Amino acid sequence: MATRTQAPAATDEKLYRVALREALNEEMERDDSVYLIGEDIGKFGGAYRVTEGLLDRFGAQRVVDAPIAEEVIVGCAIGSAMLGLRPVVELMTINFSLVAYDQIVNNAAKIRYMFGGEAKVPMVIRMPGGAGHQLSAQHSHSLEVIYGLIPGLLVVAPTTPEDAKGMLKSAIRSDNPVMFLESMSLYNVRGIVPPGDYTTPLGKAALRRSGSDVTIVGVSRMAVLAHEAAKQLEEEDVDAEVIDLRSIRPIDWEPIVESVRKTGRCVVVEEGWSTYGVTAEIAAGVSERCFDYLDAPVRRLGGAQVPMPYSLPLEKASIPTSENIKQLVRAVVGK
Amino acid sequence: MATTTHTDAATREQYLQMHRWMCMAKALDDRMHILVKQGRAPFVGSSRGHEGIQVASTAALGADDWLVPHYRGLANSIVRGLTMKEWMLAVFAKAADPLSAGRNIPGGCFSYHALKIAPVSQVVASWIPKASGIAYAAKLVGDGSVTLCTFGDGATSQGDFHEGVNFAAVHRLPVVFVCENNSYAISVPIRLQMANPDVADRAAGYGIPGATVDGTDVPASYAVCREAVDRARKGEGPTLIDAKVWRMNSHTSEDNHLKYRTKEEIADASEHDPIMRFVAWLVERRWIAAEEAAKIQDGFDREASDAADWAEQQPDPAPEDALTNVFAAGRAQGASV
Ligand SMILES: Cc1ncc(C[n+]2csc(CCOP(=O)(O)OP(=O)(O)O)c2C)c(N)n1
Ligand SMILES: [Mg+2]
Repeated sequence: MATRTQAPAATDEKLYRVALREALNEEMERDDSVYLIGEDIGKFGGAYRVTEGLLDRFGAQRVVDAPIAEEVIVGCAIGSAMLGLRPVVELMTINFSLVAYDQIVNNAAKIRYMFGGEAKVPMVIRMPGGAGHQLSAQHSHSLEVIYGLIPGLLVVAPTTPEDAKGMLKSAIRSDNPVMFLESMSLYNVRGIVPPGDYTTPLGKAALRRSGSDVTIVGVSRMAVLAHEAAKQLEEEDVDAEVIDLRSIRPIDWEPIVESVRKTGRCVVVEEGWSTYGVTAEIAAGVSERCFDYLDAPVRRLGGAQVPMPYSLPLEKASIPTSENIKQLVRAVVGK
Repeated sequence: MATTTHTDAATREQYLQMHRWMCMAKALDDRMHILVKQGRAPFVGSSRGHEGIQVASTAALGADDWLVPHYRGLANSIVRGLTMKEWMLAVFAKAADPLSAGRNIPGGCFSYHALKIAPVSQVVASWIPKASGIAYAAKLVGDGSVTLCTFGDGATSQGDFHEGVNFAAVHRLPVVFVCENNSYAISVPIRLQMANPDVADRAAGYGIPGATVDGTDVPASYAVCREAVDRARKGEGPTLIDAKVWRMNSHTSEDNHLKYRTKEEIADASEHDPIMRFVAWLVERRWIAAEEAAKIQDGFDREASDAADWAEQQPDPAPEDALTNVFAAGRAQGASV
C-alpha cells in the first residue's frame, strides 16, 4: 500500500473539492492510463464541481461525459481497467450507485478472484453520500455499509482536504477497485493540503484527538462532528479521544483497540442507519477485542430508521448531531 | 410558426381548459423560482417548455387512468387535479400536504393517491418498469385503466427504460410511454446520449408503434396521445411517443445552463415556449383574445403567490410522527436499535 512519499512543506488551505480536483489533475498528468467517466463531468464540471477544468485540459477522450446509465459507466470502467487503464468513475451520488450495484459487487469485486488472480481491476468509484440538504428519501443515503460488506473492494471515506487528496491518489494507484466515498457536506470544508505529490495510505484510521475518558469512532462526516463534540465536552471535564475511521474496508483495528483499551469506553457514530450498520461492525469488533477492558457497553449512534424526510424539522430530527453525540458520551461516561 | 392540422381532436372548450392548465403550471413555476430566490423553498426543477406535451398527454387520460410522471411533471399533475394550495403545501413540507405529508421532495415527486399519480422516483428511469407493473395489474384486474408514463430523453439510456418498455410490449400492456425530449440530460447533450436522437425509432425494435411529435404543439400532441390512449384502452398495447421540447430554464435552480449552452441557444429555446405558441394558435382561431389570455395568466400568478403565502403558515408535520408510514399498519416496526 502506498505511503506518504513527501513531508508537507509549506501550509496551504484548500477546499475539499479542490483537493480532490488536484489529485485528479496530478494523477492524469503523471499517468496517461488514468481517465475519468461520469455524468456531467465535462463542461458542467461535475455536480459538485470536482472535475471543473479537466475537460479543457485533458480532452473528451479522458474526461468522458456519459449518458445516464450507471451500469455502463461502471461496466466500462471495469472492462477498461481489466485491460490496464485506470478509470476514475464519478457517480453523481451514492444513491445512484445502487443502479450499478451488480456491476460493482458481482463484477468489480470478484473478477480478480474468479480469474485466479490473473486479472486486476484498478479502478476508483468516487461518489458523495450523506443527507442534510432537504433532498429527501432517494437522495440522502449513507450507504457505506453496503460496500463495506463486500470482500474484494477497498472502501474509504476521507473527511479532510488533506486526506481527500492523498487518499484519492493512493486509490488511483491501487490495483484494487476502490470505493471512494465523499460527503456532500464536506466539499466546502477548508483545510491544509500539503503541496505537491504525496499519498495517504488506504486502510488506515486516523487519531484526530487524544483523550483518556472515552473513545469516539466516527464514520465519514460523523468523524468531524465527533471531533466538534469532543472539543465541547472538554468544558464538561470529559476527555474524549476521537478516531476517524477513514477506511471502512479493511478496518484498521489496531488504533481503535489500543484506544479503547486505554479509555475503557467506546461510542461509534455514523450518519446512516446503525442497525446492521458500519457502527454495528465496529461495536461488535471492539466488544470482541476489548471485552476485558470495557467499563461500559459500547454504544452506537446512527440516523433515524426512516427514509430521509424532506420536511426540514423532520430531516433535522433524523440526522445525528454533535449534541446527540455529546448526550451519548455523557451517558457512557456516567455524567 | 407552423399551424397544425389536428384541430379536431379536442373541442374549443377542451383546448381553452388546456390553456388554463398551462397557465397554472407556469404561474407555479414562476412562483417557485421566486421562492427559491427568497430562500423560502430549497429547490425548483422547472417544467417551463414542457407544458404543451404534459398537458396534452394527461388531458388524453380518463379519471380512472394512472399517471406515472417525469419529475418535471408539474403540468401533468395539475391536469389530474392538483391545486395550487396543495402544491404549495408540498413545497413547504406541511403536515397537510396531500402528496407525501411533507416527506418527499416536491419537484421530484407528484405522488397523489387520490388523483392516481404514482410516486415518481427521482432515480432516473426507475419509474418506467413500475408503470408497466401498474399497467400489468390493470390488465389482470381488467379495470380498463390506461397508464401514462412520462420521462426525459436522459432516462432512455438506462436499462430500466428498455426493460420497462420491452415488458409492456411483450404483454401488450395498456400503457403510453411519452419521452419529453428536451435534448439534454442536465448538461449532457443528446449527441453524447444516443446515436439516433429519435427515440420513437426504437419502438420498431420492441414491436410496438412509435410516433414523433412537436411537444410544443398542443393540438398535434393531443391528437397523437389520444390515439395512443385509445389503442391502449382497446387492448392493442403500448405506444412510444417522442415529443420534442425545449428546456427553457436551467436543469434546476441548482445549476446555470450558461455553463454548457450558448446564449443563442437559450434564446432559441425561449422561442419554443409552448404557451406562447398555443395562445397564438387560439388567437388565430379567434377562440381567445390575446388580452384575455394575459388576464388569465395574471389571475393565476396572483393565485400562486397567495397559495404560497397561505401554505407557509400551515403547521409542520410533528417530529413525533417522523417514523409513521415506514411500515404498514401505521406503526414503525423495528424502528430502533
Ligand atoms: C440514476 C440516476 N442518475 C443520475 C441522476 C441525476 N440526474 C437527475 S436529473 C438528470 C438528467 C435527466 O435528464 P432527462 O431524463 O433528459 O430529463 P430532463 O431533466 O432533461 O427533463 C440526472 C442525470 C438521477 N437522478 N438518477
Ligand atoms: Mg432531457
